[in-house]
Amino acid sequence: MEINSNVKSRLQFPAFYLFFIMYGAQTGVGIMGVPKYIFKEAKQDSWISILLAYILLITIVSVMLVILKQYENADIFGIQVDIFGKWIGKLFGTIYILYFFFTLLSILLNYIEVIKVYLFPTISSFSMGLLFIILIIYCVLGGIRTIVGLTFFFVILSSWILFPLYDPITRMDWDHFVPMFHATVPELLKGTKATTYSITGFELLFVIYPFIQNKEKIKLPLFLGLGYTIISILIVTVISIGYFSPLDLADIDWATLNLFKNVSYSFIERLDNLIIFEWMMVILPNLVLHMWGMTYGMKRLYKISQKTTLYTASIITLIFISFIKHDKDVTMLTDSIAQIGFWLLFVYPLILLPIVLVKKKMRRPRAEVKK
Amino acid sequence: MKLIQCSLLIMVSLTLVSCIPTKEIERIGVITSRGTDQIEDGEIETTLMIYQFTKKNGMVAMPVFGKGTTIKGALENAKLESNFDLVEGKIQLELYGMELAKKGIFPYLDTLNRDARLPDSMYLAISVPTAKEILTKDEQSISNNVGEHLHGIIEENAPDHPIPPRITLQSFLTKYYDIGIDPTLPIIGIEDNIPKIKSIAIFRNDKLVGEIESKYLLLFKILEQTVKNDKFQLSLPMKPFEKYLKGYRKPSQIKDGLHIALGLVKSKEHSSLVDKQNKLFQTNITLDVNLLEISESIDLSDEKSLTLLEKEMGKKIEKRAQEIFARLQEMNADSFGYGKIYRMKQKNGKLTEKEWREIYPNIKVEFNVKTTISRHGSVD
Repeated sequence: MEINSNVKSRLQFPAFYLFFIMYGAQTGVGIMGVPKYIFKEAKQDSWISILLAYILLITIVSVMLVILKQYENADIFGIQVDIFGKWIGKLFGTIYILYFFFTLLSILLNYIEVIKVYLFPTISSFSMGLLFIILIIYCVLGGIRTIVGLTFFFVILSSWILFPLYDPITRMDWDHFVPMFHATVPELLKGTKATTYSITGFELLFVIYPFIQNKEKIKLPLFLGLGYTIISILIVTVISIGYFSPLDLADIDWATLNLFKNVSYSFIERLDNLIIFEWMMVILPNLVLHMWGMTYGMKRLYKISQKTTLYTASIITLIFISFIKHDKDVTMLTDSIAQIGFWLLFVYPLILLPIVLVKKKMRRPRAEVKK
Repeated sequence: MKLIQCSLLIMVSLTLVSCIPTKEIERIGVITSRGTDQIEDGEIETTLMIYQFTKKNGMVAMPVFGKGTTIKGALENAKLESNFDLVEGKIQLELYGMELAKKGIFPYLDTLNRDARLPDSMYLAISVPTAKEILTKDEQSISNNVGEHLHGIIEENAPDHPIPPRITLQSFLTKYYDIGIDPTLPIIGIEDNIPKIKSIAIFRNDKLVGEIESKYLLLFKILEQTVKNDKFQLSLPMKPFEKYLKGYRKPSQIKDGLHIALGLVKSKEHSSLVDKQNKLFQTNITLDVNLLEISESIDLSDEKSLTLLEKEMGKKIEKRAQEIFARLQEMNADSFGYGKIYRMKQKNGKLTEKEWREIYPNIKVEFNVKTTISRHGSVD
């Protein structure tokens, strides 16, 4: 396979959209429950953990950019083949694809779980899954430009969700944050690690990079997009800590959704029900981007047509969804994905960077000799 | 080809909609209020007030009853009696009987918290003698359904009056779980055949341990939080004001003291731990009030008389606050959250429930009330 990918210029899009892609890919089901997990580790200083997570995120994404810049127009699949050779490179590429698949699965399972708990306890997972899969197939068939457009619109259309949070803000008890700066450094770092599942999704930069038109302007939208994600997580976590009692928060599975349970207007009594459906707009970019990443990866690695992967993956997802029924299985899957994601997304690029740099240095003299 | 694909997708999506269980609005009875009472053998009885869409005015006259050991079980039991599908999605008021409250209401709050389909915005209240008695009260004396009426007096009073304390499920739970503060709830009783707010229920954790009469309601609220736009009255001793009397009536004619009515513009409350060793707390209250009524003509154009009035009012309120606090200490219920302040001043920010229960009866609180009369109406 070719290391650099030849992307036709009609498929490319401006770097500006990276803001929406990053936010769309990162924000999904993770943010619905993240306050609990961060709070369990870092207590009232959770907000520091989240800020640390932003620093970590910036570092990792910068490392990813440095890796990508060593090549003309490559993605992670090409880079790995170039560095580790055909077999190991393809194996690592497959790991990425599997990771995308299981992320997709965990997002769907978690969302269906929420629908069951909050709205329809008796609905069959299969029919919910089928509805989603149809939507995903429809979007992915449109190609990368459709996906980017969808992400753009859905991120904008769902951004109002944060506004009704003024209600829990007025009921917050700021005393829950005192005394400040009390968590130890390991606790803070554990809190940061708990945040990582909610901020995964930026790995799509590794895949989508060749599709960006003006690569020199990539930094600003990229880091702003990451910042928007972090700010959303920060807002819901801070409100949750103030709104719920510490003992209570440790037990609440979807603290972010529960924040909306008290919001009520004369024209809509239960806003939380609406919010849960609105959340579909939040997770759809997430699902579609991961599905696209999977199909594109298969095409790059094994030259399998994107449609074949799309339909096969959809069927496998549906089968998984119909068989995973208990909430503890969903939690287990999500936890393992979070663990794997941490190593694959936050640690692996740091290992990859020196190898890429060394390889490039070694290659240069050889190329000069040839001349 | 594209058209076929698209129409196929649309058709599948449409048929999938029916996978969600249908609920016809005519067959649904929406529970608006629920009363829970203790009956023998650890069983509870629920009284449900139902809203029905097919009825002309929406109300179903007869409440539905159910028995069981759990709230949900009692609800299922009540469904046997009702020809509607009873849904809980719009409960506005949860009433608990006095006997139940004395044993602790937390076991019955679990399902409200666990079942995500229930709103968090419902109000909680205690009823005396039983919730059933209040909810099944003959409705002739009040215009609408009792549940609606009760929700109304809690809701309507809330924005402009601090009376009664408007406590939703979430605020109750937060205070229950927080260490160093105990929840309170309004108590609803029947007086002259009309259900009304009788007093404030003081809780220690989830158990009702005492009551504070409704005349202390406003002060109670002021001690808890900022209160805006309310009215209250005070009775002051006549003695210090005698020299400012305008002389329409002789001091000897006035026997029962000076009565004044005040409009509260805004109150502020701030508590702090002054002396950690002696566990001395200080609560500063500033009240911004308007004078609305005064029983005797006092020369208010005199700067000194106003200051005196402000000072006397402050003294009186301080005394009443001390009274309330002494009673709370006796009940060992920390409704004002001094424990939270104490916790924040601890080195590691930790305080256990047990520690605080031992410390609390021995703490001292100094109340400083500063009132400012900003306006005294159109006459001096």
